[in-house]
Amino acid sequence: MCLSESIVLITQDGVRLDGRRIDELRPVKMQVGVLKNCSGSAYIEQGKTKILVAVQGPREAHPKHIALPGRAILRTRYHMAPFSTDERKSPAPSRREVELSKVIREALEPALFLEEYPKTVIDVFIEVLQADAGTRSAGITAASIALAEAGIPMRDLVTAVAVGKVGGKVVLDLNEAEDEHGEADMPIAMMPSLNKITLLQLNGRLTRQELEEGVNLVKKGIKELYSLQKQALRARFSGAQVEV
Amino acid sequence: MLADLSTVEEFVPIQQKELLALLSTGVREDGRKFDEYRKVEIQTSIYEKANGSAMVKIGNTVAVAGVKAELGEPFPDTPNEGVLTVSLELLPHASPSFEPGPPDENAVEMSRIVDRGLRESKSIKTSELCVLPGKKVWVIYVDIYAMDHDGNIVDASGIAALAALLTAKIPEVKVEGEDVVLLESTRGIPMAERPVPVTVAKIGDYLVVDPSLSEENVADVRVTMTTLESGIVSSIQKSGSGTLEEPDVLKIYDLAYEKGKEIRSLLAKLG
Amino acid sequence: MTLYFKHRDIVTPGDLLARGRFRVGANVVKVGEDGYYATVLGSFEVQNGVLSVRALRGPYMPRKGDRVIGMVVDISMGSWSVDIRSPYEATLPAGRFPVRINPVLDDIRKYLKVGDYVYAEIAEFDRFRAPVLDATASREFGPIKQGVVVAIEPTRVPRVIGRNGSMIKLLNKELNANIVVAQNGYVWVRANDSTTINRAVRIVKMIEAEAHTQGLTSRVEEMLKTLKSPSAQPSVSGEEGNGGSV
Repeated sequence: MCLSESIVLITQDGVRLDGRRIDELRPVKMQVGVLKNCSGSAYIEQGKTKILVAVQGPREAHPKHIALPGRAILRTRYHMAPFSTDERKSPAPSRREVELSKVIREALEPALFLEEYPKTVIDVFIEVLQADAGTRSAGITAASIALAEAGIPMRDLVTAVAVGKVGGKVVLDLNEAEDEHGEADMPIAMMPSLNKITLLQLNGRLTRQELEEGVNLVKKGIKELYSLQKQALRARFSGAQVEV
Repeated sequence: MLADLSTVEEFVPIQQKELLALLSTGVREDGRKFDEYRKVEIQTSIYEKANGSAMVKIGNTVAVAGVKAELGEPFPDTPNEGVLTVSLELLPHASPSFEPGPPDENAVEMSRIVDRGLRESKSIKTSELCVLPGKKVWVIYVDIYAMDHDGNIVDASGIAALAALLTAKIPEVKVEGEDVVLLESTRGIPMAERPVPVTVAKIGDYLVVDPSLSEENVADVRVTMTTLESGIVSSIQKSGSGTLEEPDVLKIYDLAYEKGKEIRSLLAKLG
Repeated sequence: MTLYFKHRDIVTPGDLLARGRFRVGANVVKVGEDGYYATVLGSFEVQNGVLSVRALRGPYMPRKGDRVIGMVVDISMGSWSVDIRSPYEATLPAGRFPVRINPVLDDIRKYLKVGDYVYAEIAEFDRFRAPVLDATASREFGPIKQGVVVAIEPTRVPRVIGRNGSMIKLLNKELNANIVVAQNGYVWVRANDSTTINRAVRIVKMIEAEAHTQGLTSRVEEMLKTLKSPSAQPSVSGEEGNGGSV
């Protein structure tokens, strides 16, 4: 507690610890088609957060009784590598990972035409190789382009990023120090073209006005990430990598 | 092959269709208005062996919470603070869809929503639960049972946990060197905030507060917002595979804050 | 009527393709009054007022009447289970095999064993039942006993076949080969010598890789010329192609 008060996370004129402005994303790099033996794949780096996503399927559901007659089942697994954090994380799935796997699935599901593939299952494996805040949102951003690469029909891509409150200010895309010592963290996912929210969570304390500010600020970040997702997908067929 | 999918969005399950038709007339299945919470009943101190306990009924939904306090070790990174542990179990008594055994993702999620509501609001003054810095602190266990599920277990559980914490009594202690002596006299758990979770469901384009089970079953999305007296929102969770429109966020906030106030006034009567 | 992309542009899910009055083709949805959106990553096609997106990748979805090549993965009393590279495993009943089999008296393993490729037609598939294959309708159907089978992206099949089969006719004629492109993205190559097979496989792979680009036919013609010139040596001389050899 005393630590957070001694760190100046943001200066009077709005410069953050890593030099960013309040409305700036961390450097982002994404690439699709990084793995050979799956239907779709993507890799994302957002600041020091590094995530690899693989999509398998649609494939026949096993065990068979989980299959649904009218649509595909989407399964998501959000998992953090034991070496992804400062202290080794036990490889067994934690309650946090169980919850995040669920909310991530529910963030992706509205975008997918699952009724195209009855009785099948589509698996999305999100492996956090290095965690430096914003892993669920970067995971969603990468998962949606991996699903697109797999050729699964979608209403829109899903793009996610967190806003938070740091040093009394609402800021975009928290890094680990800001997440740990800041006052709030609010990850949001959207289908940007359709302007629909598919994930909304908040940990921390925000006033009504900050909530409103956060939703507005998040849209700026989502817009930027959305265009990077599209670039990465197009680059899949010219071999280039997208970087900012 | 996707050509005819443009009509798919018009496809709605039969039950949802009926409910939507009803909602379009401005009425809910059980006669409530969209912003009307069911009757909330709170009973406290129902189990003598717990440091605190409460039963909350929201209509037919029932949750109980028991608080047990034990002296234990603090976490290394917060040596001067007590520890709060919240867990929620969905008893098989509550619904034919709940089964005994390790919690499934729904149980884990609900449990973490309630936990976050209490934790992120800093509702408990954990620094006042330190007994011997770095060595002995109070560990407060809040165990919640969902006993009957007629919709909105999260709110019932969150309110029960809060009521149990507000009325819990823990022994006063005397520190003699390295030894801690528990005294006969008791005190309350020091509370800084009264975070109240309020859940709103979105069915079609309608936002309804405190969804019943049949409303939950057809809802596209549920959003739980936990608010404090000051109007601060301390946790949000969207649950379910639907979407929200941007203006929904503040509409839900306003509903959650308004209803939170009403529930807080019920809790105030507990003393 | 506004188009936001050109014919053959690469589009991604969620891209607003056009506004106005168009007809909806494959992999396009209409949202609201007049917005047309892409649902897959692929190349945008506008033809006679129909908007569609040709997917660059994606699973093979069986359709009744499709000719497919599959691999036998399991055998039961009266049928074979066949992997046709789709989310749904197909069944080939012994009664739909080109040779008359009495499944009670005959061991059907004699005709097709696990790991064998078979060329057949999708006789039934309605999303409620697994696809059923039939190998009696054409003399070409049945077990694949010679040549090689190579896998390509199922979404590229139309380009390898070409309009009205033009591409495949060109290849077969120029290479003096017999190439069969199954709808599920298996390509069966037969020829008199392994050099020809090798050439055919390389050229099919090139078409697959560049399926979404303009001027493909002229590049194929160029490659055919280079391959046929006496100096051109196959990269794997004397070996079978790089597919599953039979």
